[in-house]
Amino acid sequence: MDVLQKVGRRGIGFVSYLFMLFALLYLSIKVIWTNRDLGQRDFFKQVFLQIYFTGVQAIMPVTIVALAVGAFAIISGMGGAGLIVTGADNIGQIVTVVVIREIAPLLTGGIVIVRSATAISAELGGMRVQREIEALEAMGISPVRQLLTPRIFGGLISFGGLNVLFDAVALVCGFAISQAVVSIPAELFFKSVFSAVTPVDLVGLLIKIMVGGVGIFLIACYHGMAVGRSSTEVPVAVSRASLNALVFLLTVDLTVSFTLLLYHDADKYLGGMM
Amino acid sequence: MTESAPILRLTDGVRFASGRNLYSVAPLRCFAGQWVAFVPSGEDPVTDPSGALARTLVTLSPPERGTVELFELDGYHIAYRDVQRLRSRLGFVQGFGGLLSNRTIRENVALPAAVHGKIQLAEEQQLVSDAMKVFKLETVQDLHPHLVDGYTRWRACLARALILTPKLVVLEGIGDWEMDKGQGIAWKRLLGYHQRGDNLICVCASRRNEGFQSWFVENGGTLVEYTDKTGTPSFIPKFEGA
Repeated sequence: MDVLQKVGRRGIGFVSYLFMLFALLYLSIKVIWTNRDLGQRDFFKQVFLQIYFTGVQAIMPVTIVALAVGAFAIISGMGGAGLIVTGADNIGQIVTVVVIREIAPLLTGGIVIVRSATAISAELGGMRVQREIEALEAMGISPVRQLLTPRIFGGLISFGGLNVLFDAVALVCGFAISQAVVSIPAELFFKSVFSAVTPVDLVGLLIKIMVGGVGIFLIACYHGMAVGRSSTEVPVAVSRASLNALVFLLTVDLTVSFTLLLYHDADKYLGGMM
Repeated sequence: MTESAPILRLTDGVRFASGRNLYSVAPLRCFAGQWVAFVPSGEDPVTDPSGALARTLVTLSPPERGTVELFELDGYHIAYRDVQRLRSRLGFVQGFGGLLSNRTIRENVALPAAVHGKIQLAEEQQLVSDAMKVFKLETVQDLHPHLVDGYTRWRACLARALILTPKLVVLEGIGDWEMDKGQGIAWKRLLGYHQRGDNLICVCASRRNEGFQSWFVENGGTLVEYTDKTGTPSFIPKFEGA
């Protein structure tokens, strides 16, 4: 009975958590319309600041990780699958499938969680403790519009940009490595890469970026805002935010990849098995 | 709102909670040109319900009982967007400043004007520069709040509260820095602002702050300087443990 109760309580808690996240997303979007008569300068400034903190300041770590991943993908692909023999088409497919569709959103998301989601939840939590949120409320300024919406939108834009950067760097690095080993002509390499990218891959990537990006920043904001009056709640909020955001990102990526496998790639990779 | 309508009206025996205790305020109507200090009765010398009362007055914390009307609107029974509009018409000074730590002093002071001002950027900048000058914040305007002392933070908070010339200013206590019998920069500015005559100033004070010896209390339409620290005069609105 105890076990059932615990499971039931956890289940209800999970559902209410999801409900709160959706409610927060709804409010974040709604407030743009309901507060449209308020000054917009500061709002856009906050969005740009978030893009700077999450996007621009993360260029270096994302570039370094992308270089490493691009190199690893090509090296392991060549060595492991003996692609030196089979040629540029397969190298292009490796880079496309492994890097663009799977690794880029996952690792970029990881970097964004470590750098920005934790920072956002800590900052918002600190603002709650210092009664800065209350100060905003007292001025008739919606904390959702002032703090959450710019962070979610700025963060989403940055996440998308960082994914594109990751893909570009990984491709160029992959090309450089392949040049060093088998000297594939640039035209042939990039042709094989781009021919391997289908519209469905791009849609999959877009879904991962949109849903994953919104989820990461929504979770970070929620846990930051959920802090009460005690500073001891801040590290707990940061820890929960980062862990939940990571689980959410993995779930989204896995779901999209699995869906693509079932409905798009099945014929290509599994043939008559499905 | 008519010319003679009260800016603040407490009806039905407003009762509010502070921690585990309940306090009540007698029915009251306050008009433009008045300066009202709310002082606890002193029955409970340990807890300080001033902050809770201030938050109740500015619609941040609903009372357990009674009605708080600001500008003839019941702040706790209107739509959230209307509450926002209502709050934009008042200035609230938190006891310890309440400045946003991710903004500079200047950006903090500019915030209400940037959001509610509906003015051009140049006009906003001019407004903020004037406030910086009046409150002597020019030298620290590009610093973040944690880099300045408490009195400067409080001054900045007052500057922020007054930047849109609100008709109602609520102060959650008066800082220890203003104890020097009205000689402080912020105190003088607040008095000057009140002398415009079109605004109501409410101070939710704590009796524990014994160093604060100078009260300006409206008594029968007159602003009276009250300097006796031995007790609270009968004409000051009190709130008592319920």
